[in-house]
Amino acid sequence: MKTRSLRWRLTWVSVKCVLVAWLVWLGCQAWQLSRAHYGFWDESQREVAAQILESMPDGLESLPPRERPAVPAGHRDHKMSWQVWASGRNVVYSIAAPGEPLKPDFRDGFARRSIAGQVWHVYSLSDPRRGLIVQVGRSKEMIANEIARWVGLSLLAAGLIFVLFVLTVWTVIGRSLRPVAALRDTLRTRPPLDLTPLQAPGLPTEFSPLVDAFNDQLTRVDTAVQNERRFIADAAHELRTPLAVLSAHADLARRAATEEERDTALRRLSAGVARAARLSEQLLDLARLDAQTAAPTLVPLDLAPLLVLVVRDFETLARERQQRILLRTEDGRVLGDVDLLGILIRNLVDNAVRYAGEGGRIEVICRRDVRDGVGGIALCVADDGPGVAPEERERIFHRFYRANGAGNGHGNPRSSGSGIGLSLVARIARTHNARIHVEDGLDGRGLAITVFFPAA
Amino acid sequence: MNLLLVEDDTMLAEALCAGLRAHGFRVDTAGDAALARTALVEHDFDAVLLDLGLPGSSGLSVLSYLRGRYDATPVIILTARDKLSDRIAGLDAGADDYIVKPFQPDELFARLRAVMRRTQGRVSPVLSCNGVVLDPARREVTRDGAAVPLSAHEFRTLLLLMERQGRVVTREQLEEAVYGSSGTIESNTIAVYVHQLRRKLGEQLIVTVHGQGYRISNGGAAA
Repeated sequence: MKTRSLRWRLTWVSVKCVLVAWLVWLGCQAWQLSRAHYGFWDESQREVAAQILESMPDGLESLPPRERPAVPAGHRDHKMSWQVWASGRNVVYSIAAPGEPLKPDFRDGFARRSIAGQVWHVYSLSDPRRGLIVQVGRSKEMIANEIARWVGLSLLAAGLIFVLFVLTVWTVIGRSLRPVAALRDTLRTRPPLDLTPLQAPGLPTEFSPLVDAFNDQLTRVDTAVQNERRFIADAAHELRTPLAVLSAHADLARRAATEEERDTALRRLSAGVARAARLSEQLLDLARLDAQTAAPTLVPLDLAPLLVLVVRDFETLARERQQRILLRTEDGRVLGDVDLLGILIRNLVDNAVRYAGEGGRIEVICRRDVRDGVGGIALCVADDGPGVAPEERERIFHRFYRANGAGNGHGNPRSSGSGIGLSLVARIARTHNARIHVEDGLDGRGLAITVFFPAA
Repeated sequence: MNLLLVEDDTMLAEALCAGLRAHGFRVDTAGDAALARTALVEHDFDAVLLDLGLPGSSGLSVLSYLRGRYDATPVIILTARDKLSDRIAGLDAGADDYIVKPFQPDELFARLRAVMRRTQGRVSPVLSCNGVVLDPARREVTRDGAAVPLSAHEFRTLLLLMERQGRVVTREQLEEAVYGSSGTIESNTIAVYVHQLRRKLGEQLIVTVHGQGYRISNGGAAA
């Protein structure tokens, strides 16, 4: 029976239990009753015979013979028929006992025989001192009747037990589930983003794992919602400045008195657009990471082709700044997510290209390496820019942290840093079980960031 | 130079058109995939600029339609989708290059010129070597009769190597063929593509000539 209702399931199970219990009991009883000689049937037959024999008065053999009357209608022996024989005559007998001897050999003991087309189970007991023989027998019909009556009674008892069981189940479950209904009502009336944990007094302890898990989920959703709120606030704040810059330069360009002034303003406008574009791209990456609730599925993949694709994107930017990028890769597979690794590589290279400055050098090197006894792939992006002071190196991976001088800089390309890129790198490295090392960059200057991925 | 610009954002389409015309291109535009397909059937273009996020069906469907007709017109994908997996899918589907919005118009013109320089005036005989057959017109590569999917960059690397069968091709020549000139990035990119090609087409096909470059093996060794 495939039903999900607890009540019906318990009812169904109790039907089966009662039925099995009843069958087992019936089996035991049947075995006990029918055991030869010592079972209840044989025992009772023997006992009845002994009692009859003892209760017979003396002098039965001298009773005058009489005609055996016909059995009156409706009279019959219900459980047993018996006969008392004295001097070869059946002197006393139960009302429906057969006329012939139940056990014609008159020997003591049990026997099974056929009398008037019926199978009888007979027992004979003699008292040689008094010359009396008692014979007690049950016909198959009598046995069958008795069994039927007895089975009927036990079925009735089983039925009553079952009804009692079901009534109990229905009431107990009804009562136990009342707190669940109360919980449902609470949930229904909650405001949509009320994420406070549920309280469920009186709920059966079996349900508490469910409520706990649900509360855990609420906490996670709460974190996600908080992240999103924080993101919206951050994004609004971060986007306002570059947009204000755009609007200012556009205004300047429109009002420019000379061709030269207009040209300058337009060039700055272009640069501002690039900055705003990059910022929105990073904010989108950030939102995408924030929205990711489950851990990404990591698959074995080659890092080198991804590096080639992403590094090529910086060709134009690097050319404009007369920078040189050196890309060296070795084969090797890591466990990763293509899109996340794309974001990681883009932000690492972007950071280096921006910080290296005009005419700078950038090296992107990916090689097989062993760190702390673990083999893997080390991806190192180094520049020859101004670098970051050792005490600051930890913090550059925090969101919206700008390295000293990054936000205000004397023509320094760092001025366009958003403080998002490296925080994305750190987060993606974490999801890939990769470790980050920060060192000095090229020629003892600049910055080198190495991300070490364990081999796939 | 006839270009087809497939872009649904009219503001961007107009700005790009103006810029491209100022650079001496003739530009037709199509606002969705169906119009793009019609235009591709009715006219010959020298290159296609294809936006992936079109209303209705994706730009990738236009690309597979084009390549399905064995049309090797160069295609540059323009898209707001900056997911790396999308870009790889585009290149695998037969795009020649990929440029992510927002982009600088100059970068687009540079890539467009590079792509067209590579394909211009090329007579395209079917090249074959050691069971590997490359059909430039159909952009198709087979190995022992079975099609082998190659990305645009892998295809171009193989194309140059097979065109100069038996001769050594330097790394610089290959880079030039794959990307157009680049003084900015010095890399072992070509080694990466050669590695991928060997993985797909067999280790013996491409021989490294140390200190010089690569060449296609002469076939004597291969059965």
